[in-house]
Amino acid sequence: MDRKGYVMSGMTFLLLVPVLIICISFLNTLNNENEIRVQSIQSDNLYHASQDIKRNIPILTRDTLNETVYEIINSNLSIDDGPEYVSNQLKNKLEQFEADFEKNNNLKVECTLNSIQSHQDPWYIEVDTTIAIGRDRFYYEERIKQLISIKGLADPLPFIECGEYGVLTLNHTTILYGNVLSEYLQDKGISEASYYENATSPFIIKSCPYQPYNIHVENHTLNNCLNNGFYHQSNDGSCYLCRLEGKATCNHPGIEVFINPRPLNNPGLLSSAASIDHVIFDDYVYTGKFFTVFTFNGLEYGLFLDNGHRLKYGISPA
Amino acid sequence: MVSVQPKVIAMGKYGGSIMDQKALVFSTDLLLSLVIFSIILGLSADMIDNYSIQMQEHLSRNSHERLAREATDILIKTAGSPDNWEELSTHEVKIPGLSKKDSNLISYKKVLQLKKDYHNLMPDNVFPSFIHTSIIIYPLNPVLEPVIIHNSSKIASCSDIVVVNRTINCDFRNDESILLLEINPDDYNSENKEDRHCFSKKCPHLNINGDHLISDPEAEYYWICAYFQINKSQVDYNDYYIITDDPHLPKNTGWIIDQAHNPSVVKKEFNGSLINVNSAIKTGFNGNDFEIFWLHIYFDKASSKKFKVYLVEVAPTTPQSELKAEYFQIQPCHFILKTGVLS
Repeated sequence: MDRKGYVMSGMTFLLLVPVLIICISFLNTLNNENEIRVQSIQSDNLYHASQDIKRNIPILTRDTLNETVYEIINSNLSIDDGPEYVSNQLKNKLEQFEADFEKNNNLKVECTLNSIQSHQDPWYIEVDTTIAIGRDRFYYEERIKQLISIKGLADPLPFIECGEYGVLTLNHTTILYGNVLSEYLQDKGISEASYYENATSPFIIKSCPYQPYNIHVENHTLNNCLNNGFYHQSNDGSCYLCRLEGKATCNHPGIEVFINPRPLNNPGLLSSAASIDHVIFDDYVYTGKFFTVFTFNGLEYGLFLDNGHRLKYGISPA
Repeated sequence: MVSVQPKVIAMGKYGGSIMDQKALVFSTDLLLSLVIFSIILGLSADMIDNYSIQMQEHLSRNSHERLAREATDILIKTAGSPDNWEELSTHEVKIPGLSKKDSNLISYKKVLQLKKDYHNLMPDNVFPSFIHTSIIIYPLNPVLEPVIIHNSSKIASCSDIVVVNRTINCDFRNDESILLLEINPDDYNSENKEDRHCFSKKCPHLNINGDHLISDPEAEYYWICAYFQINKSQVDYNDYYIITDDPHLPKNTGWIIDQAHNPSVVKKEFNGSLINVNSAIKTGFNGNDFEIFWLHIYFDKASSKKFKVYLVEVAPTTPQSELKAEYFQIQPCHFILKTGVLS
């Protein structure tokens, strides 16, 4: 009987083997599916986090540039190395951002700032970062280069150059120089510096839509450009990062803007320092002849322009 | 010498051989065990069979659901391969992802392109041939029509259907809007604002005092002006319209399109929500690669009606039904993908 019992138990065990195999494979399949779901969710989480960080880097960079330029404007002091200074400031912001992001999203985040530099398009600064995000055994890393627009940021150059001569005041988006610019030019040995008493120039960087630039000479165009305070691309003018250092010219593709002298009564072909920021604020100041943009109440509003800039803006040489 | 011992056979108490009796007992036991064994075998086989069917169904359903989910992800979360596939010929397209490059927005251009050539663009490795699909985008704004990318006629007769519903943002014709002016008269009536008549950008109509070229000392009015750029390469292949989100603007609300070097003083009134401005744009080209135009909007100071003005550049083939302000905004939509398998 015992032997028969063994036979029955053996048979039952044999029957149970496939059932067990099926159960194990079923559980295994469920586990695999669950694993795929977890992977998909984690992958989504990392992807969305990376997108979120990518969107935040330009915002943080703009904030850093904005804070830096107002520090400079308020102190009238330049910084020694624009890219390095902005990098250090941005690194602090990124560290704070990482800490907040890790806390809110339960992810490990590391944003490494590789470089900040001027771009070949002078309206942009290039920020090169590597972002690494991880959770449990999932990890994502990407190196990204982003272009940050300088449009809408304040121009620090006039404050750095003229700060020691007096206070520049602001009227909305226009810098009012009062006597400061004429004193500054007089100090540089420009004899007709008085034409720059009560001069004005734009405070906020806006790119000029009137391109090619030689159409400025057309009716109302130059007037409208001056009225809006548009900046122009220039190989001579300095880029934004060099402006933070107080440089009027640099090797990078840069920008330039007109500085409006006071209106003159019957100026004829008077000459004075060319009304371009990188000329006035450079060590070597060259002169230009007066070009009338418009006349109002017997006074002529215009610019002193050298032949190079006349050619650029479509104005006949004088 | 080897002696052979007779083999002793066990005898029972009744004498004679008991092997036969044992065989009888064994046969009955065997029969009984066979019956039990058969029952267990049958039950087990049935159970295994049921398990197998259920597992197969479960696996098949799961794989179907996963396929639908993953296909939806491929479509709405990626820009496709290559990412500008909508501009290329069909044979160059590997995956027709619908998202814009480096953005979470769905590109309406890609949606229209996939709708136009679904069978050639959708690769077999996204949906195998035995899967029937329906992909429809339902905008939440009822003014916009649902976009049927593909709707298989066989899906209604499928026994196993999976539906994936995702909320997306679609750009529709937002890229074709060159200029948007959001006009809220209350903003300009604020005491904090500068006392002047022209807002937004300083337009070429302004004189040194900030007065607009077209000024009426008797009238209480504002001008909102902004510039826009048109490329010469585009002007011959497109139509230009001013579109407002409100077809019934207050009387005297008007507009001018001109250029800095050629200012116009002819103010035109809004008449309906769609105005063709081809003549104002196309006559403004003088051989430059692009031209800058100014759009000046005039409205009554007393008006408190908010409105939006779009200047749009669209292909002449654009349906008239899509020349509405809502089509030039980013719109939230439901992206609904249905997949079905015939039994």
